Amino acid sequence: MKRWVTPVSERIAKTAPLIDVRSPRDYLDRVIRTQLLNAVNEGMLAVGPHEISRHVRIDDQSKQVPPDTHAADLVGGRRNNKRREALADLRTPDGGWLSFSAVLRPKDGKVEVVAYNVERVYRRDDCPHWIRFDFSPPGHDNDQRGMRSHVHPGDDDLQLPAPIFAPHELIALLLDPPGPSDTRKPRAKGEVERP
Amino acid sequence: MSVTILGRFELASRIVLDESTSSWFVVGSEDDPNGTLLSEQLEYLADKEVMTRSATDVGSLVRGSRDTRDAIAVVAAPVPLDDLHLDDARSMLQRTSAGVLVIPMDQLPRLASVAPHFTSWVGNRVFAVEDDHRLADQARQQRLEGLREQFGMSDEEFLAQVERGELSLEPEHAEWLVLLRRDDLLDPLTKEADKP
Repeated sequence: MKRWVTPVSERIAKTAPLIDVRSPRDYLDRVIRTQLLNAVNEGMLAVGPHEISRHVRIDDQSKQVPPDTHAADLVGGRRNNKRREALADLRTPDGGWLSFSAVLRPKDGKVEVVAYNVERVYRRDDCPHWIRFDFSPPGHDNDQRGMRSHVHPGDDDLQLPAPIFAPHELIALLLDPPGPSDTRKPRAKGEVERP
Repeated sequence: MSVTILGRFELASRIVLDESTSSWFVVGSEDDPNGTLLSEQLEYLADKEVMTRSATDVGSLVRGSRDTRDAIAVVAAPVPLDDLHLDDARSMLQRTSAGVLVIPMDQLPRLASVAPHFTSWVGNRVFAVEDDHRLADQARQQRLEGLREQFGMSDEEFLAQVERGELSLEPEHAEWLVLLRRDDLLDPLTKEADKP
């Protein structure tokens, strides 16, 4: 049967980024921590340099040989899959928080994104209460369904295909306030935009 | 003299806050005697230019400070503190932006006795810097514990399932493999049937 389009899994796979840094550690120092500190200065994170220093770190003690193929685990905040507020480390001014982990690997002088979870939790009464972007390692069953990269809009059982991001892009996306800005009315379907 | 212990990122953030003041910071460092890592971290965070110099005596210290007056200066002095004659040089170390004097960690406790006037001038800007990029072992163990609980498996059971190709790898599984130093299993195994 004719498909009419290239399978979504193939189209999503083409969005896999290579990050232009020397190593996963370089990415932590140069990009992620700098971005988070800027977010603190812009009032998008309600923490200080101490929390970034303590909770945004990297585990890169692999035994892989040669060493420049080492994968590393970049973490932001403690593991918190039950979303307990007491375990929230990278808090946001709205009462929510951000947490992430990403597996990164050197490739061709840059850094390849192998897998990630990046989750933003909003205020308790917000709907959705949380949103999480997942990217699984290669070879997953999800590959076949175009779901290796997907987003959960506040429900672990609901997943929609998503492009493959670099972790800092997701952090930027999720720290920005959701929804329309205060100066813009929420738009209803069919609304005509006035000049 | 009070010494504050800070991670390198946190210390760089603190220095950048004061980058336009004429303050000196004294930093004891064990793992970064030339101040290279601290300079890099400052470059990522600062709006001003960061310039690195080395000093082995009072002359090179003063020169290093003077030709970097408008930048954030990182002056590494991996020598005994006495060689720098800090009290004598104090008036020649006036700056228009922040200066960071990196000294060996074992020299830091001697600062107040070797250079009491300089120490009083820098006030509470005396730091011992630590590496803060690597996940502490306790934090790594906590993450592993969380993964075992979430998936109801021991590390050994998890690895056995991955090695037998029985598990569809989720993002958390990738993290688990890295934490167990088994990132060699991240790529899909070539099944016997698929081999040429």
